[in-house]
Amino acid sequence: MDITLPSEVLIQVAEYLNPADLATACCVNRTWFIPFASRLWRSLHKDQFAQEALLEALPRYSSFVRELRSSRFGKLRQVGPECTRLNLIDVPVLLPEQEDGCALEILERNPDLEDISVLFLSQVEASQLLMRFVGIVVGMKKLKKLSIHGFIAPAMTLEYLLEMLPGLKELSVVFCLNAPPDAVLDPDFVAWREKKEVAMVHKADNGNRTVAAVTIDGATASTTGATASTTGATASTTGATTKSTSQQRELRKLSLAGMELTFESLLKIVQNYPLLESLVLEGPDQFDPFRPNSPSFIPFCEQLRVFCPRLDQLSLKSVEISNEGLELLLTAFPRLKRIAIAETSMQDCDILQVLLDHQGYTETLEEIDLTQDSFPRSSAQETLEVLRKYRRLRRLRVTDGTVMAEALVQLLRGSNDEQQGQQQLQEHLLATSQGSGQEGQDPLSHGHDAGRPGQFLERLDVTIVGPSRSWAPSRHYHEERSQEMEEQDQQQQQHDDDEERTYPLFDTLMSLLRERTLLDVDSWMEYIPFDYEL
Amino acid sequence: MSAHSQILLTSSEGTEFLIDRDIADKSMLLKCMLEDIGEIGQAVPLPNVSGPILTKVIEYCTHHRDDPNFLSANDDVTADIDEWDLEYCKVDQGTLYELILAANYLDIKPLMDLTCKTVANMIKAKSPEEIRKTFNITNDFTPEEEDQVRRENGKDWVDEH
Repeated sequence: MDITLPSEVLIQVAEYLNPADLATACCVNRTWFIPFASRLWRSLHKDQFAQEALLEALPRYSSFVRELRSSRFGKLRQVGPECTRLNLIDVPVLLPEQEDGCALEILERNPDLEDISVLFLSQVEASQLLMRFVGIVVGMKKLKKLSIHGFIAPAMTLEYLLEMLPGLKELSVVFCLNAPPDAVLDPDFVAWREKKEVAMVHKADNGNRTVAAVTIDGATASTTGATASTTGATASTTGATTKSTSQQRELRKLSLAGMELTFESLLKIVQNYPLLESLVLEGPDQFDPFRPNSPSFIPFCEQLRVFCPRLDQLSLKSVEISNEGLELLLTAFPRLKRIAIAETSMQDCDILQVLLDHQGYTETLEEIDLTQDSFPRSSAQETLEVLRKYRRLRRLRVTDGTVMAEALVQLLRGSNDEQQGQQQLQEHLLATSQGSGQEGQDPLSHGHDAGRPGQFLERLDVTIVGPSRSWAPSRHYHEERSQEMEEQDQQQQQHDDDEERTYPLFDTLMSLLRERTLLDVDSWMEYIPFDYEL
Repeated sequence: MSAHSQILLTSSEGTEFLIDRDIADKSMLLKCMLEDIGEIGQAVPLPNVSGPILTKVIEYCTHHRDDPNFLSANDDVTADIDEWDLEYCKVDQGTLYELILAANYLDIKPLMDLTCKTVANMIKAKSPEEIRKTFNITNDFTPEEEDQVRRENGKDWVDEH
């Protein structure tokens, strides 16, 4: 009896083969070709896109590919219906006239894409093509994630994109500039913008005298009156906005970098997205400092909380911020889960202290990521307090941050002086009132069983400082220090050579950290800097 | 429905097999059918499965009768096949193919995974010609086509393992 395996079975067999075997199996015969080739092309990873032979063949196999990351789209005419993620990296958006084809055409032919990431490399390219790109993208109703690098478009384009794509969950825009005045505009966009302007003027005429001039440049168009008005008035800005709120706006994450924004214009964008959870803002220097005396900063912080009550992730990069500014901004994040601040000039901002002074966050805060070269070194005490206070913390990274090894051991054991003191006091009170020596019955000492410090830690990226140079094996000290030590060791080699050193503090710390099962101690040891007190 | 209820199955040649209900339930096809229409007291005809293959399938289901992880047994693509299963699959190719088709038809996922894994192991680290010999397959590509397929599908870009 001669049976052949049907394609549906071969597809399942293909799941158990690696790419090299798949490549062989698809050459066997016509029946075997599709099941094995499709699996092979589905397994592509991004490094392979650099290979000329693969790119040569890609157009004929693209229907098998689910996720494309490519800077080389010249030969790709059509992406298959299953490809829902498209990453166009490095000059992908070629002019339509060019023989090699163009990414815009690919986008046009695949309106069901869910995730697009594009990079316009040159300003000329962006200003010539972005409007066409926007015109295509607003028709992609399944789009969930959009990332545009090099956004050179007329004012209000961002608002247009967001309004036309209510299902969008994540938008990231890097480098936003206004398009030159002679740029060719998308007619739909022009019509939309005119309607917006009419609505705004109309509203201004309708008795709300505080809304004054409306200029063509919408991004800077709003007036002091609009922002200073009550939250209710701002919430229902224009007719156009009200009309389109019938469809739920899904935006969860907004990431804006290198844009000339004011707090006012930013508020105008975010106010329409009540589900927003994550706000990522990155300079340029033109961004007003996050200080109470910046124009509109205080109303921005106040209204942000009203418009976007679900905000719980904040990321700031290359903006200027002060202690007071951060305090104010945090009021818009009542259930802060993640905070990341990087490359920020703030001589007078002590982020950890501001956090610690803030009421709350003990149940919510999971990640603190402070990468900074210039801010004042956080004190070891602050780092320790952060670990003590935020029991849900999963990741803590503080560049230049330190923590004392002994204090950390005490904290991880859950028997620091403070708690001991409280327990002793409690015991004393019990003993005097009841005359019995019952211990450990106070709610406080039970409390830390529920969430031991560092229980959820996955990553701890602060320098751990021990009391003496021999507290930890020298190979764990950061590079400079271990070189220094090696030199010293060489000088006094005779003394130490035969001595078997032990590291009780280090070993205790490691075993306590190993109890935190989420923290992969072995890989953590590779990157964690250790140090000792001089 | 009693715990000891039994089901009668009829293979393609009309041979009858009386099996315990919990064995029949390993097949999603039979399980769903029995849940939907109940036990009607008549034999369930399986026109796509021959007697010897049905015997073999019942052997597998009986061996894994009390296996708590039955449905996720072969989920790990890289895991080795256990010894009993390995012995079980030492059959001629025709039987293996028929087993796959029966597992597919009766919807017994762990048996499907096991047999497909076995076929995959027969493909691994072979040349196309060796694969054709193993599976007795005729090459219906023209030489030019074969050359193109080989060139386009990873000859130069697949990582060798």
